[in-house]
Amino acid sequence: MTRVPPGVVRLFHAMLPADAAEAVLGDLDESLAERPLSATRLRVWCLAVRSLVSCWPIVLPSFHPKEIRPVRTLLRELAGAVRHLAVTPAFTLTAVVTLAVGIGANTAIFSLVHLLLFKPLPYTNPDRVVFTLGWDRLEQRQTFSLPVADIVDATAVPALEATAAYQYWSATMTGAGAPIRTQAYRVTANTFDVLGVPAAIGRTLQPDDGRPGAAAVVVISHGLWERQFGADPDLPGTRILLDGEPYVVVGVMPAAFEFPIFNFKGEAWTPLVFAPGTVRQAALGSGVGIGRLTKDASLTQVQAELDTLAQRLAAEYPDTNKAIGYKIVPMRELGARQMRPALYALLGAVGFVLLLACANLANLLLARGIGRRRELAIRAALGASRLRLAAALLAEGLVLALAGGIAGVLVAWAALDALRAALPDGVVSTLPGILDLGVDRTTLAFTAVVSLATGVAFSLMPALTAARPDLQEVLKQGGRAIGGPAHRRFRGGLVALQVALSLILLVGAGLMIRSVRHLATLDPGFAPQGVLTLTISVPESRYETPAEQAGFFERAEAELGALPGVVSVGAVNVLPFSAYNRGTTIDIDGLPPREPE
Amino acid sequence: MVRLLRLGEFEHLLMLAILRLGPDAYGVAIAREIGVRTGRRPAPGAVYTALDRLDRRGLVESWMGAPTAERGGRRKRFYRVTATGAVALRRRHEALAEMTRGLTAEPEAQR
Repeated sequence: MTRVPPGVVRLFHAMLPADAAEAVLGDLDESLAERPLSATRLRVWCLAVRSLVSCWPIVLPSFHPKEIRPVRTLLRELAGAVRHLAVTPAFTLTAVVTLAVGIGANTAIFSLVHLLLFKPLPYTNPDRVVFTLGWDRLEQRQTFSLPVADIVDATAVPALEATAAYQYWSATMTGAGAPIRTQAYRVTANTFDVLGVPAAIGRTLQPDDGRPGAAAVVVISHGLWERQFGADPDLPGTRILLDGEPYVVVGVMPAAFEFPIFNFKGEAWTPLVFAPGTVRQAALGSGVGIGRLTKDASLTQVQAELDTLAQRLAAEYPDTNKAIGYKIVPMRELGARQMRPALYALLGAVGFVLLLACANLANLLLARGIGRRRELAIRAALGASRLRLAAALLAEGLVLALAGGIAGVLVAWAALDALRAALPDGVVSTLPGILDLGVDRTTLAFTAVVSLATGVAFSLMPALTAARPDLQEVLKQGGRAIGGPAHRRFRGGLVALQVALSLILLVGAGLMIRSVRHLATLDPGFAPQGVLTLTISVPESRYETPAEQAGFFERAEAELGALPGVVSVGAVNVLPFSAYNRGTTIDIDGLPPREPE
Repeated sequence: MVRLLRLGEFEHLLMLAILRLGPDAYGVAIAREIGVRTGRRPAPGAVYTALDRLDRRGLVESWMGAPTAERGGRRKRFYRVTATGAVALRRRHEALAEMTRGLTAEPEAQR
């Protein structure tokens, strides 16, 4: 009886001379027999592959030529290709640079697309984490935030394991160096459990932190910890002031952690406080909801259950919940939805660039092939098979493509570095993980595949045409043959393809430039020349009433206006064209304030 | 010729194992013997590579045995030390003996 799977046996017999395969397989069989219990399928294959790989050095020189002819041929042709390319450095350099640009652009854009659309979010089972956004049932449209009470109540739905809510809070932090504005959040105390992310140092918030009477605690981001506290590992236990109120730091999140909101990634998190079951009485206002699906729940199932819940709540609380419904949105979708078409368009554009590079190189190789016709014809006359001749040209393509791929990775690296440095703050704070943009393993795998495909693509046609030399014709003409009509047609086709692709790219680029110029010259309805902006927040603990806050701004306006060079001063909660926009009510001076809804 | 007779540490262990096993020296058995005696069982691949190198240098020779019922009926490749291999081993032992003569049995750290 043998313990070696038939696949391994076939593999060994294919790769090794018969005797060697038999002896090594026998040894493998015997080793497995020593510990039959641990002989899982995976382990057997691992052992087999390791034996096989380490057999290469002994096998290569003593290989029966028949058994490894393709491998040896390939190695020899690759070596030949390198020699050939070294003879014509100008051609080689041109080809590699062309490829590097094409492959580099593709690599860079792919890593962007991968990061924004496909890379799993840094949460536990990220595909089960969703946004529970609002749905205005009267106006039939999606709203971003929901009353915190309704988000907490959504936990009742069986398909949701838990829900959490958070509110943005632009807090001024004091007590550690100069006062700074932080992107803080008030969150339900189970938020970190819903995301499934533990703290790097100390602990995250726990349910008890959200009970009335619990000590006021805060969890801070890795970035804030480094910038403001000098990465002090003993930080937990320290008191800081947020808007003048004392909080004890209990934990620091990992560097890779990002809060799932794309406007502000978060630097400090404090718990929303309410007694269990009394969230409706706590008057916590609105927030953004996230939820974790139970293991087998589908999005449609959750949505259906939430629709039922919304109807029930509307019947129970007709005053507040008449219009309130829920809308489940997968986490990945919210951030990337608007960008998806643009990203795919970009990917398509760089794909065209690569195709163009391929067509270009195919043409170059064809021209080069004509120069080599005599050599190839002589090789054919001496008995080289068509396959062999095609292999020679394919090998050349592969060597070029690999060199181009390596150079392309360097290009992508530099491009992504430059892109990262050039990103405006608005983009950095709105796109999740954008600063991780770089060449990672997935990207490298993509580049490798693209390079190989490119190599095959641009060398296949020249290889096929060159592999059918008309011996008499070529030798008679002393190597100055220009190729038959089919050959010419093919070259003509390539040129047409190049022109077509260039045209598409040119038109695309032209349209893009026009749009950008149009945007830049668009009349925004105000005169942005000479206008400076700054952000400021007023701690509610020092300016409790709206009147006091308004007083602060009036004073600030008067004093700023008195500065030399200042023509006029104004204040607004949300700047025009800024990333953060929300619906809001406006109170007009001189009229009584509206009742809060 | 002198260069060809030089043995690395692992090669030395392999040849000693072949000598110890006598007529029963083949891949797994050699690896097992080294594992049992030194406490560190070499990877199968390392054994094959080194045995092949010794074979090509003429220090050991190998042949395929007869099929047996065990190991799925597969034949074993047996190894034995050649005359040249024996010379190489003797030289190495002489060198080791020369270098250790006069030292105390247990090497100790120098002050």
